[in-house]
Amino acid sequence: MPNPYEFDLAAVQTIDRLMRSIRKAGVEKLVDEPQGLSEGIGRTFFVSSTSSKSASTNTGLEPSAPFATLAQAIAAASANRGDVIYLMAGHAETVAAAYSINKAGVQIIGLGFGANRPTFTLSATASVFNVSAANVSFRNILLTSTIAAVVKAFNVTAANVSFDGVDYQEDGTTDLLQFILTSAAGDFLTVKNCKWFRDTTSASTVSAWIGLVGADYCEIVDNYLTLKGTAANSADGFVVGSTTLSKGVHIARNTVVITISTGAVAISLLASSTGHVHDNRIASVKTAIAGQVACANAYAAENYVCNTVNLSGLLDPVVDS
Amino acid sequence: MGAYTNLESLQWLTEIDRYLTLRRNLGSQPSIGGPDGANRYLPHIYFVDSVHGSAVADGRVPERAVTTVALAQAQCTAGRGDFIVCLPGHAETFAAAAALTLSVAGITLLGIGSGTMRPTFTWATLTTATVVVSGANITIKNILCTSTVAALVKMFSVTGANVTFDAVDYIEDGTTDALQFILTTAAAKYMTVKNCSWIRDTTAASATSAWIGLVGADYAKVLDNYLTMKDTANNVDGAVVGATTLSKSVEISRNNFMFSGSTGVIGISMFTGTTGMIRWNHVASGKTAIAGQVACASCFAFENYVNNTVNLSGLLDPVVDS
Repeated sequence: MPNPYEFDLAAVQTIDRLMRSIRKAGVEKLVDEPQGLSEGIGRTFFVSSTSSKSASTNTGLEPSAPFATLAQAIAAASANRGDVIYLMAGHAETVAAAYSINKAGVQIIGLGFGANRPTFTLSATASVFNVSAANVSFRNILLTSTIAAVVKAFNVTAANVSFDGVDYQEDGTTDLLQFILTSAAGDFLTVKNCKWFRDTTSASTVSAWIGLVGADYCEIVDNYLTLKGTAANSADGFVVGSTTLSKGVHIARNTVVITISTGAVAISLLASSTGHVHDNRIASVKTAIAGQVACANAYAAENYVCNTVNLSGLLDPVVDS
Repeated sequence: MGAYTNLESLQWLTEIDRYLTLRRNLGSQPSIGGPDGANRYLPHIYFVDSVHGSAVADGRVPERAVTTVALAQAQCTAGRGDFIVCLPGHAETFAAAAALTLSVAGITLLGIGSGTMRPTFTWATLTTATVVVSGANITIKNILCTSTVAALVKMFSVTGANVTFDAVDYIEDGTTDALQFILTTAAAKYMTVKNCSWIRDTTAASATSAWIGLVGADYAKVLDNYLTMKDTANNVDGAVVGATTLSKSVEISRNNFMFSGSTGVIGISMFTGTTGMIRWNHVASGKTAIAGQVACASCFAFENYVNNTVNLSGLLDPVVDS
């Protein structure tokens, strides 16, 4: 599969060249603006745990003198300025507690491919990124865990948060139960091109990959999930609504495989939720093949489900007339 | 709906940087006034920032941004491929008919930022407030639109050829309704509308809505858009609606259109004699008869699905060829 982030390395160089060109153009430099930019222009910060030059006391504005942690870059960023934080290839951090992402408009972009992508390891059941600022985006990041039953990776309580290419790979012995849980403030959430591999370790309890709690206008598209369930009837799910309905959700082109659990309802929207659910492919061992796509008040088209290998999918829900 | 968060701006920065590098390599021509070595024949870049800019600035670097798109456009040269870059947080209001006319051929109006930080255009005061796109080869990308006037007739009037809208989104303000995104004339050949979203599910339309009105717009492409629209009962609302003059060789693909409140929706409605290809669209509404939501005139159709009931799967529309 082509890597959609191929341009990112070039983008870093591009931005650097752009900044240099602006400086070279004779723009007045301010003492506290080493990139030669004025108050309203976004900064670019770099983070690396592997560079010998990494330090919390750096400005983080040059790849050659990066910050050591994402938290340091977040602290240096300003809200609503359009700042970009590049996590350099090979960067690794352990998340042992709640981790606050609280600067609106920050883009957090990982560089590198495969296992060389920036990696965050969740090491406590309460390890979680609390995303409380709007317009934050995450891109090209790898997650893993080293303890069983990590409750969730991201807690989203702000609008217009985006995840693009944020993957999880189990370590072979532990399990992360949930990727994202929203609050009702998490409107316009986007989750796309994310992959979740947990097919070795059975979940220690029910898993709901994305939990929607009143998050309106969410877009969940082009993701791939393989999830090993637990004892027979665990009602595991891919997108699960609860507590408060979500309006205008768009769930499309996702591929979901859930094993072990015979009670999985992969897409399960809360009553009265609206939107469009289409072109998803769901496979599980749910005892009754139908009912794996439960749309509440959303429209549906071309969702196919299986509960037996080596057979083709069945349209679910049944066709309108 | 992928347009909610648009990180592709980085790719545009790459494009911009190529031009900057090229300019430097070709050498500075100070007499022309290009502070970064601008060459008169290569694209120029002008920055717009309503928060930090100045109306009397030259717009050539972000620190000297101008405050409106019109001020930036006034410095552009037709056919040179100039960029107008609206910086994050930029906001502009259009309160009259043709409040802004994009008339300089070949410019690209590019918004930087994601979510609500995207540059935001607000249509206000008059129902006839519009932005006119009359220049050929103009691209508008990554802009957030809203309105504060009820029954706004249309946002963009397109009269130039080869105009592209990419990730130009509309989100209602919760109390007012915009009735139409784009209306073309027959001069608007080769128009492309892609990756755009339209969220109007709180405010019922005060009149019939036609999201894109095609009037003789040959070779138009409407691709990968997402629309949710609350309607008034029995309005014959539509997402892509042809009128007056047929359009040749249109392509309408991979769109999701949802309507609520109206029992008369025809989501895709081509004018008689219109040709082209309509495929892979999903149209959902409360239309009384489920079929007939994709009316192709003389276009070919593949794999379009329609609903009129929630929590059921879509039905093929039109019926299969034989």
